[in-house]
Amino acid sequence: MTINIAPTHPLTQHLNIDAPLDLLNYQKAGGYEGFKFALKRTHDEVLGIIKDSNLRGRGGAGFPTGLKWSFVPPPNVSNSADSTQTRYLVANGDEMEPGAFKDRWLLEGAPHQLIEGMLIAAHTISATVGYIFLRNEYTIAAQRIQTALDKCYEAGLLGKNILGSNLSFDLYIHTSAGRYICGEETALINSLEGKRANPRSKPPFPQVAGLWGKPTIVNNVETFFNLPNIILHGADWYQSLGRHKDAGTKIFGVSGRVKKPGLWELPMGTPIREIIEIHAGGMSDGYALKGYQPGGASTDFLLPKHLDTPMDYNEIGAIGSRMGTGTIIILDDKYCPVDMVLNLVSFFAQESCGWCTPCREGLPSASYILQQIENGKGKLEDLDYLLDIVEMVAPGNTFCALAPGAAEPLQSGLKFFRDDFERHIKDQCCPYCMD
Amino acid sequence: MKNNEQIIQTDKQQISACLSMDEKNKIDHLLEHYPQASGASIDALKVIQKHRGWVSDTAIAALAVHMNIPLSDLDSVATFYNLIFRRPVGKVLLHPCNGVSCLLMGYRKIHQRLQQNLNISDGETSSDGRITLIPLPCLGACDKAPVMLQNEHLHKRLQTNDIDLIIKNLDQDQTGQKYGGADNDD
Repeated sequence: MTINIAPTHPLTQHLNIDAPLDLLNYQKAGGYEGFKFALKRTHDEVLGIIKDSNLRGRGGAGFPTGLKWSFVPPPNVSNSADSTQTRYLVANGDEMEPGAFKDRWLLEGAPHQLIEGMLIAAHTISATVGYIFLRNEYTIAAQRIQTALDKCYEAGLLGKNILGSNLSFDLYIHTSAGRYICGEETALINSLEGKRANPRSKPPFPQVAGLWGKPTIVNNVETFFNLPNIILHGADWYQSLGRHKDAGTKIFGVSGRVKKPGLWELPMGTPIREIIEIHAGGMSDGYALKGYQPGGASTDFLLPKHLDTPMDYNEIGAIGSRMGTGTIIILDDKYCPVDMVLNLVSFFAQESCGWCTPCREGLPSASYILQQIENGKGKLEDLDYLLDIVEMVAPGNTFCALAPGAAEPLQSGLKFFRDDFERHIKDQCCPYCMD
Repeated sequence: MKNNEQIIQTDKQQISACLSMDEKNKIDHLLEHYPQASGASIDALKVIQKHRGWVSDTAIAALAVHMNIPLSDLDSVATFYNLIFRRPVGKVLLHPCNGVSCLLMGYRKIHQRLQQNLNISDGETSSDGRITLIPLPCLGACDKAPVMLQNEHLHKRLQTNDIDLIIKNLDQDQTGQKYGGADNDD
């Protein structure tokens, strides 16, 4: 019997990036105990624990996980056709947002924890088939997960009647072939069906009619990593981990000109200042902090004056940005903000699936104007035109969140670094001397 | 005289024969993962690419016959995903990361040095056909920026001098190639 002491770092306690634990050692360390615990409880009991824990989706939007799962229609035992209905479970490991690099760490470092999390979810929503959707470039993760899956099948942790229970669950890896839009839940589903990754209109929501028209839950990799310990140690324990209002821990990261760029598992609600100045070691010598994106490429810029804000979904929202993936991108004082915004908007323009007009036409147009400004060929009225585009691709005007995501750094860049934009236009050149 | 159906059947067999047994076996195995054949489209295209380095029109036609799904469906998929190559690429694929973190940490110099050294632009293949340069946005290693993927190997914390060394080593060691090989049909 394994003695389960509540861990302080539930996401990374088993993580080893050089040599991830194999099945035997993962089990020796207490692995799959959370799944076994869940298996002894009813679907509703497990769902209740997840709901009470206040776990929110770690892919960027922060949607409450328990609530998402509760939209899956319950198996109707009186209707045999429905009780055998296929339900799909998908782990979103597409991680293609520039500046986001947390899921790779988890996938490579502890593949069994992902599988255990998915098994708990499969039991809760009565899923029969699961897919781990990986971006093409994560080949090490794909190899390690495949090894882990094979071992799980051998040990009866996957397949028919898992550990003698009624649960039968098959789990496969699907490796993608590029395109950022695949990370969007409904586009990912289309991609898994072997189609172009165009997002779908909602409703119907995937929880009711997703993959091949069946109820489908798509969760981020990090969300699944949270599940085993929540089940083992309870909702109250999980809530107590957070330093502010949100529950649990989160993988936070910093990239850019800091002394120690990297990733850390920290309590939710850790202030931004602590992440940048203590964990990332502060700015590199000779560089000062000008601004930062708190959670990847699609999040609004924030300024040094916001540093004392806790990394909580609502707190970051209240100051005009989003927590997103929790991976902070640093803009230093030596790098041109116009060029950074240009890079971000060009990325989204390139990755637009082309389905809806505002995104397909608006983003390349914004990218072209930004390039003109950066090249010293901008006009002052261009700034108003850029703001028009921001409005044009606002939520509600586009099919999915890709273009609104592109608009976030654009509009906040124009707001916070307006002087830099105007100087490019007045001087007819970029005032920064960059690498 | 053959009737139409027989002609179509013969055509189909000839087209399908463009795929090797190895490719077919791998694709058939992947088909088991999905309730409908279309689900394996991307995986199947990647199997072909792994064997041939790229995916030709002939290969797509063969795949459509083998998987029994419309050619137009497969073609729409093959032209959407940017890592399905629709023309020949070198056996060495260089993907410098042009995501925002790498940009901030010096992507531009790395990129310039690559273009100069190889004497090609983005999307092009070196004159000897061995090396293709395709920048990719964000490789998920932002704390080690700037980075570059060489086929499946990730180069981290790159400096411009490293680029010279990497390309020089490519010249000396041609065995570190992971794509391409097998039967080329085009």
